[in-house]
Amino acid sequence: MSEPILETRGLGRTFAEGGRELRVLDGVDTAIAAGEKLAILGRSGSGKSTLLHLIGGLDTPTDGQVLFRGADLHGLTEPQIDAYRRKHVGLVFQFYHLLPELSAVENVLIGGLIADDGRTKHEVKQRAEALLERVGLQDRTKHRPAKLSGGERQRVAIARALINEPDVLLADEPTGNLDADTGKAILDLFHELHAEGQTMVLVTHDDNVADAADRVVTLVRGQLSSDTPA
Amino acid sequence: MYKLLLILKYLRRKLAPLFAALAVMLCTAMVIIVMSVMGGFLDQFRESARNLTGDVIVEGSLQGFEQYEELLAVIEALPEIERGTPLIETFGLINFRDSAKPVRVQGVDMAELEAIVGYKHTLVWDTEELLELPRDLFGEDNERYRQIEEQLTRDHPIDPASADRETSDEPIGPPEALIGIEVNPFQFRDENGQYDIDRTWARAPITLTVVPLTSGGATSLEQERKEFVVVNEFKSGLFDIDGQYVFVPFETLQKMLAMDERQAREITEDFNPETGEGGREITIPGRANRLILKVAPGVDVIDARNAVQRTIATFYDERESFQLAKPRALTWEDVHSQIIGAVKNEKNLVSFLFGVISLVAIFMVATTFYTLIQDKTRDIGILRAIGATRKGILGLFVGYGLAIGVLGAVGGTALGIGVVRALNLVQYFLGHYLGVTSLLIGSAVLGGLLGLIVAILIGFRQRRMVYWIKRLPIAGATLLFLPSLVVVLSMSQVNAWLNGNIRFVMWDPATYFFDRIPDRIDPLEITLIAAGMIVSCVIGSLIPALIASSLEPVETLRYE
Repeated sequence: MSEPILETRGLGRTFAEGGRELRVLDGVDTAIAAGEKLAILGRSGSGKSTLLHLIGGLDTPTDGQVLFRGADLHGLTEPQIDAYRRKHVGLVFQFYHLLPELSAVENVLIGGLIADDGRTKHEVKQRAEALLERVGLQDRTKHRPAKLSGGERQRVAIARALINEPDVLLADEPTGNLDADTGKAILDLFHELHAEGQTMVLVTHDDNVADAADRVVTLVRGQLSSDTPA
Repeated sequence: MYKLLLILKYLRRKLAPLFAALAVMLCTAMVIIVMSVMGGFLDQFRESARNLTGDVIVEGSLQGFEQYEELLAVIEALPEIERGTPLIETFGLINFRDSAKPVRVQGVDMAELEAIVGYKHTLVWDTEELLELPRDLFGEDNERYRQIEEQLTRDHPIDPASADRETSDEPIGPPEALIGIEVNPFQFRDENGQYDIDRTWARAPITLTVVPLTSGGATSLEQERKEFVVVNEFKSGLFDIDGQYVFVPFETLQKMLAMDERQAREITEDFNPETGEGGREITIPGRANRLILKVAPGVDVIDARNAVQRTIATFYDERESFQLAKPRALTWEDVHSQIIGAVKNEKNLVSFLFGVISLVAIFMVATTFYTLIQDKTRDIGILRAIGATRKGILGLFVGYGLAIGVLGAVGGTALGIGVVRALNLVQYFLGHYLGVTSLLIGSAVLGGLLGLIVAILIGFRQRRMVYWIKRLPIAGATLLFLPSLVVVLSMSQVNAWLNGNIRFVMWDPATYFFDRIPDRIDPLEITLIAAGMIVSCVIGSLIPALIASSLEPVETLRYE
């Protein structure tokens, strides 16, 4: 395995709920290499989404570390973590999480505008349109999410995640809300992106999704149960 | 840049912020209308009062003060004062075509009055209007007509030289008088606040009766009566002034009040009351009871007043021969302090009201935003997840508040100015033209306007503004026009009732203090009101924006 781009060491997360402490993630050690396609498999409540949130810098671990290119993510300041989310990771959610007021192309380009990395709005828009073409939505750029099907929405979400050319694409149950055919099309898209060299982490409870990965990490009740090549 | 994109989208796609902007717009317009009317009322009063009073007034008792010319010369030498003139003001009674009326009479040199306060713009009738009757009566070639024409085309309507004329037997009549338009008992404002020249008064003599006051303040048993010819009427726009004041030549009034310089005999031991011989011959100095002064450019009236007051004190200290009380210096605002104070208080109350309205705007925007943030929690989470900072979210919602404020304030300013400008016109139509045609046209215009507003709202949301503007105003006008037509055609009784009973008059120009609604627009005041509203909206959005920026992305995404 080449040098890991992301690594977790003894990662744990405890939630306080109703006066009780709930240990959702407990001592997870794993690593993701550049260009790798990792699937995190587990049942509902196994802690896989929590693991993804921690890797994505959306949440803070109770204990342990998330290392990005060797640097402890949670030793960073909040603006640095914001910058990490902007530049280094792209997030895809089960429920797409598109902004309903924006058209498809605007939903994609907004990530680029937030990045504010010196590109002009025109350049960002061109990139957004190219990405929509890449995911097969060149004819739907001006449609708002309400006018798109589930599969189309997820493609827009994937395009948005790719707008800033992230080092890692993190997808949380990307086919969980789609029918079998549409889910397969989305998986094909992930496969194509991976073939182009995109590092990605797919969280899923679906064995079919996991089968398409290079490596599968299985979580059971917050603990790493297995870490095997697919 | 993403903030601007989202602000524009939220404004376009959400109705609640548009309603908030509409409310801000109405608040802004309301405050502008009220402040403009109140401010206009105050300004109109101040202008009228100042026109009549001068910047600084040296005011003595009613019987006046002596050595007024010397005092004026000393005061005019002050750098704070540009020029001044003596004036006599007293109470009198005019008899105008057998109708008596109490008035306030001012004796003044009109050329000086023009130079000090500028009264000419208040003259109601131009020379042509005034010459109409003499032309009809005498013809243009007549000598009398030419004398009258010469009299009416002078620079100032009251000729100081007319002071010595005694009776109407003289070719161009007795001394001249200028009367307030409401002093004329035969002059009425019509329902629109307009006057028609009453040709019958032109050149009709008025008899003025005044009561002379001795230096000691005692009234003479003999009233002084004198005929005057009215040469024009003035209209300051302030009912109290237009309904009370009469201007006559200074010397004429001074003589009538026995305030001119006179020779008399002081009673000594050798004075014989039967023959009037003996005693010591003395000169009783002439008196005026006011000096009106124009302040030099750039000088504050209060500074000028204080300088004049000091000069009066020194003038009186240096001389010991005064029998009458020394006058005092007042600014024009001091003179009219009671009514100006009352109007100022009302304006202050309106300013306080503006403060309350600003609070309403703050809470309204805060409520709208709080609701919006509840609705947008997931969006905030998404934005944070894709890298937006807390500061960015804060900026987004504060910018959103700013946008609503700007939208509301700009719209409100336009609406406010429009309403203020159209106020007199609107009340004119509301009050006087509720006829069939107006009802139909009004319904169509109202329908068209409503259609236009709806078209703009729908067009804004759908980005098809032209499409809807082409259709909805016409539909609205037709929709309201047709029912109105049915009402008018089938219910002539209703129409008659409307005409007969509903004469809604916001501001009756025939009866009110001013003859029209003051519609002054003060750009600074309007800018401050609009800025205040924008700031209120920003403040209103601040707390919800802080709440939004404090949301944790992972928490908000779990919302689903």
